[in-house]
Amino acid sequence: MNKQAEVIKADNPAREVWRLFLRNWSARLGLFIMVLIILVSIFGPGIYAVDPFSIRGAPFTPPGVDSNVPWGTDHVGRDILAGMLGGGRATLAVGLSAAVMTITIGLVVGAFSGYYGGLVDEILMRITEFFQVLPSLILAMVLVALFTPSLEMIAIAIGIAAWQSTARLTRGEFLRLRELEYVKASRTIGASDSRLMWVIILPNALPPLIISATLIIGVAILFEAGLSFLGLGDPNVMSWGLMIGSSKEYIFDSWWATAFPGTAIFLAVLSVSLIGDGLNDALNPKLRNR
Amino acid sequence: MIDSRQHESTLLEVNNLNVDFNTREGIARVLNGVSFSLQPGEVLGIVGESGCGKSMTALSIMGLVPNPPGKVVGGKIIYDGENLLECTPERMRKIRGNHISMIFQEPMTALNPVIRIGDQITESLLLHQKLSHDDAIDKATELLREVHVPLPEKRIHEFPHQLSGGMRQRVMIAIALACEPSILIADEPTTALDVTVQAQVFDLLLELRQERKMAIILITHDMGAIAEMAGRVLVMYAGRVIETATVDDILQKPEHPYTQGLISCVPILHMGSDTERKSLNEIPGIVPSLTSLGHGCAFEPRCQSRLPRCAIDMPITFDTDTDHKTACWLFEQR
Amino acid sequence: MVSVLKILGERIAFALAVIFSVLILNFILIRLAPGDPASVIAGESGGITQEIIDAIRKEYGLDLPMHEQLGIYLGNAIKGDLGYSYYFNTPVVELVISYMWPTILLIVVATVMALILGTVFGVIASRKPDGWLSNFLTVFSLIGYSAPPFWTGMLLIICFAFILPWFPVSGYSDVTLDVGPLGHALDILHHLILPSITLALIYLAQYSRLARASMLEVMGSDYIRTARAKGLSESVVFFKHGLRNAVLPIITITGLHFGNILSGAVLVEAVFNWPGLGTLAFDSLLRRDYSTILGLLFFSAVMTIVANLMTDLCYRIADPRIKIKKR
Repeated sequence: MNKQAEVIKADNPAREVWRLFLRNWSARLGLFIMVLIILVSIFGPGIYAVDPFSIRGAPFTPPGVDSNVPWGTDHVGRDILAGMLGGGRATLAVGLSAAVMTITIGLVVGAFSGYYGGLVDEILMRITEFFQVLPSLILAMVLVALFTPSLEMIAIAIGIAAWQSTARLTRGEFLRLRELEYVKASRTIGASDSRLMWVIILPNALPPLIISATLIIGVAILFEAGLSFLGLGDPNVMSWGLMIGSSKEYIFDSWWATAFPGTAIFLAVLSVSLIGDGLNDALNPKLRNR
Repeated sequence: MIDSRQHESTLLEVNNLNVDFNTREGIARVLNGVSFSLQPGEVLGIVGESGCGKSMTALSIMGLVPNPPGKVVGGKIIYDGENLLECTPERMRKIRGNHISMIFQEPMTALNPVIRIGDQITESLLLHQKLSHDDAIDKATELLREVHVPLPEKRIHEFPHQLSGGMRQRVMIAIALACEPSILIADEPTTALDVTVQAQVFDLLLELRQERKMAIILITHDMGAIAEMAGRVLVMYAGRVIETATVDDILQKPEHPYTQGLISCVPILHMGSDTERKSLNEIPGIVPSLTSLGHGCAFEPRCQSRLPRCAIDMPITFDTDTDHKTACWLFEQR
Repeated sequence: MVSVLKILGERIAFALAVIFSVLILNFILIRLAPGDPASVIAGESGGITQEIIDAIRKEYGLDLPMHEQLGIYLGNAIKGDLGYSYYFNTPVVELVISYMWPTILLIVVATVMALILGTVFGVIASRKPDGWLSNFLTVFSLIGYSAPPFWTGMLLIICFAFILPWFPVSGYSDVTLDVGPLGHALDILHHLILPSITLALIYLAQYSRLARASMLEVMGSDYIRTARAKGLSESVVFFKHGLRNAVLPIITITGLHFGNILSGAVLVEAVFNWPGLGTLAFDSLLRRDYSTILGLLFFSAVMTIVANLMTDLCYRIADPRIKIKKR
């Protein structure tokens, strides 16, 4: 019985990681919050079908006063609850797509740099260093300001501004892995460069990349919030950052208009960080014993 | 007082020392009833495989057993009539580096990378000898010269990374000797060094011992070094002293089966080409885990000449000859 | 000495190359932006006449081929001309420099606060690796990392400027006060406290976690055992031999974080109306004053480079090993 369990565990590393992940209470908490946010964002606007831009009550209605707007209204009378539910979708969508952008750019640059080395590495690393010097929020800000402030543009801008650490991480992993025996063996039997990079090396570089990808979702959510706060959000799509940005002048009159979306952003980023930490522990079980 | 007069010639006496370590698997007794004595000016060798408790013995004398996880749970360490295990931390600090010094295995990491050599040597001079800063610098330069570091005036202003491994170990020795200790503990002082440098360091230690009449406890697993340096030898296994004898006795008529195995592991270099080459022996089996020791002799599972009772009773120590003690049931009948 | 100069020379050459690249990036961005470059340069501030547009077109040579335009742009930049802000009616360089000092003040104060407190907390926590402070720091650093800085800032305003009116809500100083230079400095300090705490909170806990880990590692190292074997007192071992080695990774991280701190400062300033680059960014974004925004990008890159050079210098002073090692 025990023997069999061992065999299954060894055969299925993903299940083992999942088991280790769930053993960690903070990772479970993170996962719970994340699932909750995702469910509410997906089904919330359907159940509570209110246009977050429509004016639904008197301006500055506190929460719990008017049953029509249970979470209160902002300075123009828009429904905070509707904004929270609708804004979640936009925030999560931007966070996720920006993270995909970031990882994609970082992965490609890092993989080429680490795999080919030499001049390619030199050039790509110079470019990476150059982008590291540009403060990422300010770069993203410039990009969104110059081009149209749409959700797509925001995601692209965050991707362009934040890929450097992923590139460095990927490069390091590729540099390490390309020297290993199994890669050399595949090379001698004639595997092509692209096969070596994406099929043979990449899967083994994944654990640190998965952790970093998780954390980047959090970074992207914070970026989107920051850009919206600075007035660079998509004005046609309600997001949590946009809610804070548009109510920031009125915090003394309607604290709830900033507190709710702020807390939501905080919880979303926190849950992603907790999941990232949990994955880190689960994927590097050796570190935990220290 | 009577007690101290009795051991007038004895510099250091370790009596029934027990040290426990808290590990994941449970409590490990890393030192179990370790007893020995050290006479002034003597070189005492302690040999054994990694993890047998050699270094822990040294750290116990220095009062540096890492706590947690380690803890001295019993015994006495008498230095100059004083039980070091009972004295205050302040008192212990006055002894450490002043009367008893230690040099460590890894010269590459045992020196602080961000502090100049000179500062690292003068530190204990300023602390224990209350020298003025200038005097301390002069003394440090003198010490470096004594341990044959070239250009000592220049070296004291340098950082450890600017020196080679052998030079660093000389600096370590200079630090240890700064306050003219009566006991120097050398914990595998040459393991990390090149062979040629090893010989130099051993020569240096012997030379300094001659000059200063200090006692040296040399911890090593290098039987060659023991043969060259030591007067008496302790053989340790799994936290116990299993055999004590003069170096000649240990090398020529080892008694404990473990010691015999240890000696036969050493390649004999002066064997001529005409002599038939003898294959090197090895002791079968591995060092047991200290958390799962049974009641009997720890070496029993690996022992070629075990008796039935070896697995049940812990052997007591028998005086087999003048100045030769062995903890093995094979010697009970004598 | 020669090698130090050589490395320094390499660094400065790299810095200049980066600065040059930022200029080219700026040039490209203006051309890539949708719409006529001349009106992009002019921005969306009101009162832009056809005359101004024509003047811009002439000044930047916008009718000339691209490489000549680049030549003109770089030539102007070398002369210290990064364009003109039609909204603020000031040359961009002058404008950005005048807004730069409050930001530097904010960043320096916040960084020093985060560094010192973070190191102190981390070092204390390292004495008891499983104690309550260690656990608290773990939780606290997650919170500091996850909370959007503008949200933390607003919470602090509500708590310490509104409910407990200890600190001013926003701004840099109270111009209505007539209290002399010292009083003025104290007044600025008073205004500075909440914004700098907001910014420091992001990094404080991260630094303390790092300091804790670093201190734990250092205190387990061989040279600490050597120091103890000399009979040094525990405090000398801890501070002289331990701390100096433990701060090395913190210095490195602080340097790497500079860009993030600057980004954080932009948001914090926008919350507290602190008249620095963040406020300038906010205002120029509102008016789509692109010349100023690009000038900001340029200056923030320059500041990051300078900060990195300074970190490098600090590290070289703190760690003698670096001097002979090439990077």
